[in-house]
Amino acid sequence: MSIKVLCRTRPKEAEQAVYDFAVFLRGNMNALESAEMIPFREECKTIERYLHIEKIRFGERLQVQWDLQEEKFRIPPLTIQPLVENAVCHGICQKMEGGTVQIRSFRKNGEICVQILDDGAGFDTEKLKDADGIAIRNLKLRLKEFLNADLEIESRKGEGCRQTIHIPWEETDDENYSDR
Amino acid sequence: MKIILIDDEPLILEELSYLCEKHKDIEICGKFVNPKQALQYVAGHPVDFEFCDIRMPGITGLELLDQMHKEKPDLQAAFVTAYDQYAFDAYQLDACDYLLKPFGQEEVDRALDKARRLVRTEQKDEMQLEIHTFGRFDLFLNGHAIDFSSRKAKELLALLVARRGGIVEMEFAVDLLWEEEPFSEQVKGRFRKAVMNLKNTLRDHGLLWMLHSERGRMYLETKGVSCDYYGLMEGQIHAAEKFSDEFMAQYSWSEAFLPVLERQAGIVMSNYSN
Repeated sequence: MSIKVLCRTRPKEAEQAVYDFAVFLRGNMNALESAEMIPFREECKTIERYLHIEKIRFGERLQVQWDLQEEKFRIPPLTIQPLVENAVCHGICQKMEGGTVQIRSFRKNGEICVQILDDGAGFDTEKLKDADGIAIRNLKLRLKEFLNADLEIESRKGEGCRQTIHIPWEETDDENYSDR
Repeated sequence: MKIILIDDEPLILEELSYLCEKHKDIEICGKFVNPKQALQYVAGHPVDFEFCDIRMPGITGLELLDQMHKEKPDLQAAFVTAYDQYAFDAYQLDACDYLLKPFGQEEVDRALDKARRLVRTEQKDEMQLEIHTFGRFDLFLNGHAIDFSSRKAKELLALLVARRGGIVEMEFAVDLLWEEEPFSEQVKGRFRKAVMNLKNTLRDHGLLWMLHSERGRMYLETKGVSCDYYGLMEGQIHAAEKFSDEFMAQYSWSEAFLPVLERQAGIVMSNYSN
């Protein structure tokens, strides 16, 4: 809908948005079709496109910060983008003044961690436990199967949310990694 | 009709505003990204109808309408959302329409049509409609002459007025409006186009209720319509006084009606002086 409106009022932005959307969709379709992992950088590109489109809808209400200290690893496609989408939809958009989504990656204690933080509305994690949507359950399964990784979600109502993927990682894994 | 727009996405407000532009009887009194401000506005100002998003920060459109109904129980609403799962809840709140994103002109027109029908009962007294036939034919709404983009559409309306609620069939209308032409498919097409243009103009001004139309047979609602000609035929003296031997002067076929009007005016005036 936003792109439709932009076509009439701000065509240059519409042009960029259509491109972003197409790249985003292509990423989604690749995910559906392939059973392989992709470089973390590629997932980040999909996330960037997605965030660009959401910024069109929400303007200044959505702020984004990237802090990537680790990038040389692979993940199953569309395991991080949905977490960012949750942060935006359930966190930031639920607040009138909006907020910030941070995407971070770092190494810690034999793990590589990918973390999505938001200062949005937050929620009661107790209620979430059995109410995992299909998307989250699928995501967790794929992380486990491909990387033996876990997803940790911490949140409190009114205090935002922190979603962390813990990927077990040895020093030797660095040598084995290739960008191919 | 006074309406407000409520959506936390500014682009949607812009689009709704743009799509309402062609509706001359619609006044957008406020555009709100903050639902709480919308609630405050409704409490202190007259509002007939709103377009409202469902998913908003802090409160859903459904909860918002519920609260608004406490202040304004007659407020009509059409929900605008990307999700279809709230339709039943919307129905329970008496929402008059439910628009799924992406939406366009058609959906907005439909929602406004529904709203007009629902709001109209209180509104009709406020909307001042006057039909002038003595001299040239014109339709005045709240003091402003309505601009008909199609001349034939206006002429068709004039004919319906001249028939005073009587049925006008396609053959009859075509005979008078396209006098020189044979009754061909081409001319029938022009007639249908004139009907469509007439309906569009009436709809844009919230007047579609005036016209009854079915399979090429049409007639006008005369109840609650102020018209100098109707007044004269009902024997009203001030209407007779205004008549000065001219009736829908821009249309040649109107001459056939003149003798009846002249006689009626004579009768009314003489009754009055007696």
